[in-house]
Amino acid sequence: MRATTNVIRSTIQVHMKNTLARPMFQIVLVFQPFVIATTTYMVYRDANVDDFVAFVVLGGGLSGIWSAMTFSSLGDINRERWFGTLNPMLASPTSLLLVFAAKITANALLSLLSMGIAIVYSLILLGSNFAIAHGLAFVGALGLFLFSTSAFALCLSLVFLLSRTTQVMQNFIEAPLLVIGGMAFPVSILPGWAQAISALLPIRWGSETLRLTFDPAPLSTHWWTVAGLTLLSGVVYLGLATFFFRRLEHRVRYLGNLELA
Amino acid sequence: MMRGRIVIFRNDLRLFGRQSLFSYRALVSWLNPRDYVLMRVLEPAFQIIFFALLGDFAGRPTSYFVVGNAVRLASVSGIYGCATVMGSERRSGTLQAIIASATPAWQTFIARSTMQIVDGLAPVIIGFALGGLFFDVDFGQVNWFWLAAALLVTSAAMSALGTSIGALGLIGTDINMVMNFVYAVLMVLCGVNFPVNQLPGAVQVISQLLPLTHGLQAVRHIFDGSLADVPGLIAVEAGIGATYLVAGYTAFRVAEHKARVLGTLDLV
Repeated sequence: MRATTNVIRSTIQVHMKNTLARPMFQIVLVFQPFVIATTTYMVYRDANVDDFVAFVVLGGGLSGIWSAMTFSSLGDINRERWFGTLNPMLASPTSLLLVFAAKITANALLSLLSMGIAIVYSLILLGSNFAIAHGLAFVGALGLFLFSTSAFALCLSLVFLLSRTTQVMQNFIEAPLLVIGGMAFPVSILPGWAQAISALLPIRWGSETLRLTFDPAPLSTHWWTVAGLTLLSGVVYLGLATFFFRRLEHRVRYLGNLELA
Repeated sequence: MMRGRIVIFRNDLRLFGRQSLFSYRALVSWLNPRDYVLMRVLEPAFQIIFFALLGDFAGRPTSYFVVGNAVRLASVSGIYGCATVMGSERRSGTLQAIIASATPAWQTFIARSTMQIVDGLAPVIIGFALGGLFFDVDFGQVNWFWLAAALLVTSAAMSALGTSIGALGLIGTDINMVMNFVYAVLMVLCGVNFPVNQLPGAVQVISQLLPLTHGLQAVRHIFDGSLADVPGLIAVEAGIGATYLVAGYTAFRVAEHKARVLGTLDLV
């Protein structure tokens, strides 16, 4: 148990230092919230949009978090592959799942910076209009969002561990999930089939949980339901990641094709 | 004598074209057709859809967002493609050979950037097609000649900006940061998703100095069928592009001179 904790702690520490030093990560963390928050603010400002404040803050913050996590989490696999360190990682006594989970946790913690930037920037843009009605619930919902999207990112990293398309996919996958994630506009404006896909994503439930904390009305059972769905989706993706990572480790040890995928 | 010059000119032009084509093929050689579709068709399409839905939710015409983002996506090739050409030569260890060769290095890089102007138009065409099929983009009043001219000039102006960023990189600036910063700035300040006049006054001045602002304005006029201001806007866009090209050329000559005197081109 102590060894596991040490692995997680040291992986998070090293990974945070390495990741923060990469210009691409700094760019995603800083520019993405700025661009999306400015655009949502300018587009929604004069329109009669419900949850205007929430969409400005969350559009900037959550898209920054999601972009940082996808860029970095999928990019991490690519980097390990380029450095030739995937096989040593597999051969080490620590499981791949643990190492990647720690890396993704580090990315999630760093991506909070995006939310911080989005909040400060929105405060400047919106002035006295800026208010988070349920501060404590917001913090809890943010924790749930990070947990569930991290579990989802872990699943994605598993898929791309065996693929050479990681570099392309890490660039591609960001935009579709921004569309169906409900970060800058509600998923209810999407066609039915897109809403059905969106319902499978923790990002959608996490976004909604966060958005409801901006509503001055007391938290309803609906909030608890979507918060529960965020948690549930996170647990499901974590379970899937754990199961398939073990299967994958066994398979690549048997076939010896981790570098050859 | 005259005939001889024509032959030399035609040969130069042929070499220029081959240089552009080979450079482009080298740049995208890692892409297979599936990856190309993902990166150059679907990814831009989803970006356009994202902003179109954002506009739709605000009750605004989605055509404004589709057209704005389709034209803006030309900057991906223009900025990233052109800015990285010089840096990638340095990484490959071939920059000194290019500088030392008989062909002027600047001419080589311009040739390599040319294909990016054409490639930059791919997401624009995809965006327009998407807009016509699924959103409310109306081509009824479009004058195709002026549309082609506006898009070509806008793409060229953004490529000029990308080339000048690449030249700055030779002097020692981290172009990765600059490229992405410029890309974000173009997205916010050039009237892509909201009119430039919604920005604070001082920021509007910056908008007027950037490529894309006038080119995009011309494209919007062309879609509205009001062509009176279009030639002027295209001329301004071309002027802005030319200015960035001159700035890039100056930065490149400074870097080249510094490199010849100090022998540090690969060391900055």
